[in-house]
Amino acid sequence: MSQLLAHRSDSKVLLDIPKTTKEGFLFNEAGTDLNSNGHRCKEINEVLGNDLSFSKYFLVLGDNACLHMHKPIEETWPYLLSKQINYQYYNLAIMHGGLESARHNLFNWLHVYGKPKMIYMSCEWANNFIGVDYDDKDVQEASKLADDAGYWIGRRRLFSRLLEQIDIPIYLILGPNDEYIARTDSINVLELDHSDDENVAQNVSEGFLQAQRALLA
Amino acid sequence: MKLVEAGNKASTEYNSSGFRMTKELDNIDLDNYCLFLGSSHTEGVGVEIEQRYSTLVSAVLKCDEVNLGVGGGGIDAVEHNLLSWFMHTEKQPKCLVIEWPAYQRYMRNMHGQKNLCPAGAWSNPKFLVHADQALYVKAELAYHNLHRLSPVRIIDVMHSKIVLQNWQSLMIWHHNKDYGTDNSHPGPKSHLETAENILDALNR
Repeated sequence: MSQLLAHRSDSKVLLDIPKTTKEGFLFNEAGTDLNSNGHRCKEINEVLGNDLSFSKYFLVLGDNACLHMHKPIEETWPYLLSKQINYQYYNLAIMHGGLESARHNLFNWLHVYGKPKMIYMSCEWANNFIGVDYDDKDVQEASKLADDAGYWIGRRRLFSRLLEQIDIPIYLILGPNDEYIARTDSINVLELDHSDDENVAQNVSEGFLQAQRALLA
Repeated sequence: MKLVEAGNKASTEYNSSGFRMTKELDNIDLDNYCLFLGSSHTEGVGVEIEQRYSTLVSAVLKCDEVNLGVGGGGIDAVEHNLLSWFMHTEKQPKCLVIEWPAYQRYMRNMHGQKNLCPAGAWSNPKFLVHADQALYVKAELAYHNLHRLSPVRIIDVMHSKIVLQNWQSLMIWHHNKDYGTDNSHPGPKSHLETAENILDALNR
């Protein structure tokens, strides 16, 4: 039991803390094509190899925008991108997880498995409280008040400052209706509608392969 | 390093990174240091630097003190500064103490302000009432996550005013045995007791 529970006497709170895997990752409790950790991609040892040292892979962070559970995994942009640039990938995106789950899973990944070659992020709804019931009137009211309270911009700025300190190329796929999950000069913003998976994969891979060719020239 | 600062860089008691420390962060002996994070209690509001528990513990352990206390700051500031610190250095501290602020506090953006500002019951009471459970869940996740990610054992400290009952045996309670110069924060005796309890915990 957490020491922080000393703040509260109602045991209801205990039920609302999101569960994590043994290694501390937040995971999807429902969905198709999920691996044994509840993430929509291959198993970790299939990505990193049995010795967990394979480094030619990218991480995917975000929410529904990276999952598209309504489609087969083979039609989602992380999968297509992986095929086109010939990199493995691990998808840490969490349904309705927003900024909080992206941050949590990223730092847990860096701690457990080290640095990927690059990170792709996309969030439909970055400003999302985690582990609460959005049918609850208090949560709905808090959502309305959060912007005026400077809460979400504060969260985004803190996350952005952390990302500025990570020496990994980061790409944000930002659709017309998406919310910024982080905003800083070190993040490459790709203005693409994430719902068009083929277009995202095509555009991102073209840019990536062009940069690779330029490096080799 | 991009830390959440305590502020008041103009004061002679604060270093150029904005923390109430006698040394610059660049001058810390990373082979021999103690790391403290928290709120005003860690910053030592109401007492002299040499009276606060972080300075007392560091003196006994004969190591440099890194005090990243942020007055008014919440668990988000603690989390940010700890993650930033360990991105900056792989050198482990001799001891790591976190004084956990109230979970309702957070760092907010204010229009026209360059730096983020601490927010709490004094600034956004209506939001806090409705967001109570959401903020609690976030804090709980951060607590467990930092304990998992930290390369060294975290010694937990909490100001006893935050809770109604002190039944958590592993938590070190920072009591108001006396009062500081602001007549609100704990005074020198309180800091001394907390320092002794931290040193006891280190020996356990």
